[in-house]
Amino acid sequence: MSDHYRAIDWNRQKRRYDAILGGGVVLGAAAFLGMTAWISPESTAETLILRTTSVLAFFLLHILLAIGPLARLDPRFLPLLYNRRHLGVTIFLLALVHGLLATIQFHALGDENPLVSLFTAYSRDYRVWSDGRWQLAHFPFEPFGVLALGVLLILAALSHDFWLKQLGAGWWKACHLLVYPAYVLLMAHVAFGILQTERSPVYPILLGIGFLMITTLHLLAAAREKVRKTSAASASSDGFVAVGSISDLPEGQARVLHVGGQRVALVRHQDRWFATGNVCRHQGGPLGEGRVVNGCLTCPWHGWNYQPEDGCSPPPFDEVIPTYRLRWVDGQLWIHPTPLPPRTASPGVAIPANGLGLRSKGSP
Amino acid sequence: MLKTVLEVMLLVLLIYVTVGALFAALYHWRGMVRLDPSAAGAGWFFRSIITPGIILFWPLLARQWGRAAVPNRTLIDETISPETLRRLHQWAWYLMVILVPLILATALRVRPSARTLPAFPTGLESPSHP
Repeated sequence: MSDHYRAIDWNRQKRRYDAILGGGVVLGAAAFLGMTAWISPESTAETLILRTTSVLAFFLLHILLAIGPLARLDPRFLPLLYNRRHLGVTIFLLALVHGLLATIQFHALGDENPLVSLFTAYSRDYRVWSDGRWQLAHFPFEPFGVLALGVLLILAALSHDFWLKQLGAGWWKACHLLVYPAYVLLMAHVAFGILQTERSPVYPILLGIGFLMITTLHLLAAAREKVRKTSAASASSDGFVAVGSISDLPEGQARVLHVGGQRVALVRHQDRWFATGNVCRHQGGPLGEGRVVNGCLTCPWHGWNYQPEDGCSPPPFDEVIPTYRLRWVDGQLWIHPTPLPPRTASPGVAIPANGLGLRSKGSP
Repeated sequence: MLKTVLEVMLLVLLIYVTVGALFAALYHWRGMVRLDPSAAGAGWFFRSIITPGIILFWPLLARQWGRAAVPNRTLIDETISPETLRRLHQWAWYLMVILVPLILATALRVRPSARTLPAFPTGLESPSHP
């Protein structure tokens, strides 16, 4: 967290993340260059750079798309999520080198404007139906790449926290969902481009494996994310909703609950329960999957902090999340789905000893 | 026809980017700190990092600047609820899951064999090619 902007809010974890990312890119590029030069010694330097940057960018995009569900499935992957935006900017820079070099190599040496040629060169003599069959070899695949690069540019340009604040977390996250259309466009760029001329079965197999990996991880994460849904029948006449006994939540941990159509983070702190909003003000991280650190509920994504009692970030920060009223009745915990006014301190509810209901002084 | 349309679109893009670049200079000079006090004292590296975004989204920033200086106001008034965002995420995922197999299947179905691979299109041969 920071109360003013820096170009990059460096800390030890981010330096380590970027060192591993940079080292991985250099090693990956060296390995791919060496392998390609060995298999196809006739390849020119331009071709080698074009292929290396494109393969690396597409490979890293697969990793980027896998990080979200992986972090949901196993908290050990959370460090990968921590600085994901630097991975995204790296992908854009690799794609930019690929795009610029391809434009110079194939479109800048003629009379036509290179940017126009990108869209017209392959379509000039192209016929979808030719000689009695569908013909996609030499299909104008480059516009897909141009559009994908445009989307990656938008994502990279908006990656700084400045834009997060300007757009608000919701719109910022919505903009970053464009990574899915970017993946589809790049898949079309590859499938209608290099896949039509390269004869090796390795390429379609790798593309298929990559796609299956991403979809499977998303499906597994969606299945894992099942939250306790409360039925209308368990609501009391004064609006409180029963969420069960919650006896298995350890001290200092949190859990996502579904209360009245919204997600609430239940936190156990100093032998009391507190309920706060589940959405972090930073990037919408799931606070109910976080834990208490130094007395604050800490977002698992980037470590933003909120006091469980009033939902406020500790000074000098001014972010606030909602808090909710709680009570313990008849061996069950009840939560009122209407949030308290912002910054309202709530005493929470004391955890009953030996399964006996103990009501906190502040509960209704 | 396609060429003319593309040339017009490129011209419009060029004008948009030029206006955006001029706006970015003005925004860095007068607007940013006024609209977002957290930007006070920000260095040149930070300013250069956010400049591509200013050039891309200058109409939104200009609107925010023009609507009287209310510090820390977001560019878009309407907020997106977490539930709406979750639905958008689902739809983006569905789009990917439907389109990618379709693209791959079509590309593989029509993939020419080495025998039927057509020659490079006119205009892209190397100069030495007869």
